[in-house]
Amino acid sequence: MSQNSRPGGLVALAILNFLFAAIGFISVVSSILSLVFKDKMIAHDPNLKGWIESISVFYIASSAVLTVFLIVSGVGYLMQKKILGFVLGNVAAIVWVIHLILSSETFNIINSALLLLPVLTLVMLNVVFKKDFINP
Amino acid sequence: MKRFSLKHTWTIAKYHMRFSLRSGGGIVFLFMSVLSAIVVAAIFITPVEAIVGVEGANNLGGTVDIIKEISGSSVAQNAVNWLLDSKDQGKYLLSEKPALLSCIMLVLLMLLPYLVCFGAFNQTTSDIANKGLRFLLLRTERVNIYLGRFLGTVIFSFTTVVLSMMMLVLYIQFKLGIYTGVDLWLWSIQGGLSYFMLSLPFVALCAWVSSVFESPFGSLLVCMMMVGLPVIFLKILNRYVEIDSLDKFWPTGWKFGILHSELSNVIMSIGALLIFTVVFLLLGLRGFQKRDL
Repeated sequence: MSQNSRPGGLVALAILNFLFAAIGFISVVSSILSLVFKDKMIAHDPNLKGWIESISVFYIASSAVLTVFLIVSGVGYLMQKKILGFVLGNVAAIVWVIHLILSSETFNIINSALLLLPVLTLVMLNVVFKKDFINP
Repeated sequence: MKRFSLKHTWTIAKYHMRFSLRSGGGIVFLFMSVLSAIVVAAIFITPVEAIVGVEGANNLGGTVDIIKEISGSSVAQNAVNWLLDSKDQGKYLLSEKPALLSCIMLVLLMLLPYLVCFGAFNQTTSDIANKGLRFLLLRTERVNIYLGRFLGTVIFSFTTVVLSMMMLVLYIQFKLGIYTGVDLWLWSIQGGLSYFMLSLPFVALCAWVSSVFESPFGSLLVCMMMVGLPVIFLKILNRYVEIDSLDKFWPTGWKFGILHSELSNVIMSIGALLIFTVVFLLLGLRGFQKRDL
């Protein structure tokens, strides 16, 4: 069975990281804009009041940190770096889980769907790709 | 078949399973299978959770009554009858079996052939492209490589789907708590059997396609087309040729058979899916034995 030095699975994980980082970036930008134009938005549509008031600085900050972690760890996967890929990938997944737990009020099936990628990342990094981060 | 060896086939299957987990296609298949299962489940479970929220967690009896009323309604049963092209299966699946799980399983069975492609499109194609199989051919026969990789892919895809299914059943049992454990688990085992049997012909079809093409992306594209296009073709043909059950000429036509209320239908579906599997395997193997590697 032929195998390249970099497994295809790591590339797939990196692509998923970049994809979710892009979604995170959009979420951060839209949250900041919602806070900046809060009054105008509520005046335009009063139904948005509850949603805008639920946006906290903690949510924006943790989303921003998570987005950066996802991008950097994605690059780390591609370069097979021990610290940048393996360690930061694990940290990003743990931060993601904590972010989801703290930002959701109840545990339901949709939240469990959001937990899928961080849990998959933790399992894959620590079981399947543990020995593939060959660069310091 | 020349020098088939079960030991060689099993060794290749084991290595292929391990390789599948490390490959891009394997990760995408794993992610998409579990995500599809959760998204499909969310479509049906979220309204039930809303009912539980309104009725209160301590009044599950009220929630169960509402679900029974919805699943016993003619609208819901007619929708399932239309989907299954039958007259009485809607009542069986929604009233006699756990309705929530039946709905989730029906939608997942429709998605399964396409999902399987992601896990099975690269059984031999990339190794044919990079000539890697030449090194393996020094140690074993082509038949063992072909069947070993088929077996490895079947076990890998089945394990993934069963894990997703178990996750959903555990969620329905412990979070919602609206069905008794035995009913739910027995029905999910039958669902698991359906997934296994339905995935067999499509993994065999992907094995055939991947042994023909030398490009993994091309193989994935053709696998997807081979799963979907015959269904469309048979639907169009059915408009002009008046033959009942024309869809039975393709494995997708048998996808709901294993969930049928009559045992004869279940056995017939298993038999038909096995025949499709053997035919696809033999056709693929015939080409693989002759082709330049």
